[in-house]
Amino acid sequence: MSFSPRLGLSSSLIAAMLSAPQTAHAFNVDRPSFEVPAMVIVWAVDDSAPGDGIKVVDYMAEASDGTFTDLIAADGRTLLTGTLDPTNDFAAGPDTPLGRFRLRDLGDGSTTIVDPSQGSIFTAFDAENAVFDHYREDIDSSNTMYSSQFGVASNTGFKIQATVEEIYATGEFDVRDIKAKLRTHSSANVNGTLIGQKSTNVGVTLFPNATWRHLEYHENSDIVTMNRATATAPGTILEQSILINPRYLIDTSDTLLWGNDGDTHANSLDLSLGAGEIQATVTYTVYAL
Amino acid sequence: MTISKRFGLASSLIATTASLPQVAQASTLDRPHFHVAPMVILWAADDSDGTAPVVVDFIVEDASGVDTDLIAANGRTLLTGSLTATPDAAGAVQRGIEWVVRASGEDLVTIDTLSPAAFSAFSLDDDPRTFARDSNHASAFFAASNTPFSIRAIASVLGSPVNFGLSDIDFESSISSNGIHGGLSYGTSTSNPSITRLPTGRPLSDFTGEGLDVFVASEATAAAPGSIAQQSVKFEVGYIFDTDLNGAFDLADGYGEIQAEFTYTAYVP
Repeated sequence: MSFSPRLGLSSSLIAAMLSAPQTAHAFNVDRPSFEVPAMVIVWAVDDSAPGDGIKVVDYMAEASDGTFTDLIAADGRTLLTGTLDPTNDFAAGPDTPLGRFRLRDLGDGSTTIVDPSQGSIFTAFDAENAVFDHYREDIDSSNTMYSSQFGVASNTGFKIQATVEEIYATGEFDVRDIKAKLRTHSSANVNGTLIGQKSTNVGVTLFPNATWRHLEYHENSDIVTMNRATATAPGTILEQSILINPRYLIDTSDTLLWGNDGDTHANSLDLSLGAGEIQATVTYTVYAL
Repeated sequence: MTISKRFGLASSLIATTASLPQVAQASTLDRPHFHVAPMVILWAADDSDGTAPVVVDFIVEDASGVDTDLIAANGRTLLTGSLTATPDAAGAVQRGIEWVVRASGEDLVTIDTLSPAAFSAFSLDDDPRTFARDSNHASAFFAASNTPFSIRAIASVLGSPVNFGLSDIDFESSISSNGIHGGLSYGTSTSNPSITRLPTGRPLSDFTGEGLDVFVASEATAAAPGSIAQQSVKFEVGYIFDTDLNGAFDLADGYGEIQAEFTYTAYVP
């Protein structure tokens, strides 16, 4: 009858299907695929328009072929530590004088502030008990130290390399006299702007304290290595950022004089510092791990 | 055709009775028997070349309860609202994610992560966020049946995932008993059949091994004569990529890639 062909077909298929699950022979497939590139975002100010406020100046993304490209052509310039203002650009004008010194009389304990830039006139003083050294009101206003910062947000580990170039030095100064030290901050409040509330700097490794000479010599050294993403929870770019805080100290001594607590440095700058001028361009380049 | 076969059966019966004595026990018997097998028809795209819409599964349950797919081809789902096959992640094409930088409800930048193009520095004044605009994969396929049926899904990983796994993708689904899909009308000969679906939110890692029944139809889809499309219901499925299921995929979710194969198998319970 009309069913016999079907039965014949079914019979042969039954034989074939006996060893297979009864649900395995018909299927419709979906192959969802998701690819999220590694991304590292750097913010500071635009070097060509530093007065325009903080901006994202590097947006690095990994393409499918594995190349890591900065999608923003602009160069950034760092911020003054503790502010959202751009650092001074020596290329745009005269550099900042070293600042004030102090004359201390160890005999009577008196102190006289001397500001070479103001041409201060003061009286003759007892040379026997006098100490003449740099007057440091606080760490950030000290002109013996240059401290800056920039922000990084990422969904991946990354590293930062520093290049010291365009070095200009006169008098008794050279690249060995500038000591560099790095810090990072995962949370900050900069004049009311909250940074890093959805970030972490756990996992960061910093290059040991070094001089510009070291950085010159170790041109491709990783000065910052972060082995994980900075972002820990959904949020804005600022919230997912950590701050990288490079500091440079002028110090002609043979030893690194950074204090143990990371926030202070020894104040041994006196006449032995010598006289002169030194400046350089330090370029930070960020790579994804 | 069917009628001639019936006559064939009648003729054989006559031949059998011809040798019997021509006595009063003689009788004429008729034992009509009709058997319509349970059938489930799935249509979407052909997995081998992406052509659509095509019927890719024609499942018949025989008298012994074995379900057989009479079409050797494998199917591939369709893009939602289109008669175009979904991209084949097993091939060379990878699906990137469109990334967006948004502040105050406005998109500052959109980034095609597969082929990123340069853009300008942008301000942080309005607290911009950066996140994936779309981290979902949505697709659809259709089924017509004269019987209750179930659809089981099994998940597996394709290739070598980076940083992500099946547990980072959640499954969701919906059912539409009639409408227009890619210009093709469907479901006009269905009557909103009773179909239950797996609750939304199960991670794909729950679908490995034996898999899970994602749709269970307790009645046939076909309620009136019509074409296969007219007697079909649409199954829409989605895969939500979000490692922490907070409704957004951003930098905190990390980077990497994952390709999965999700296989739907229809069967008659």
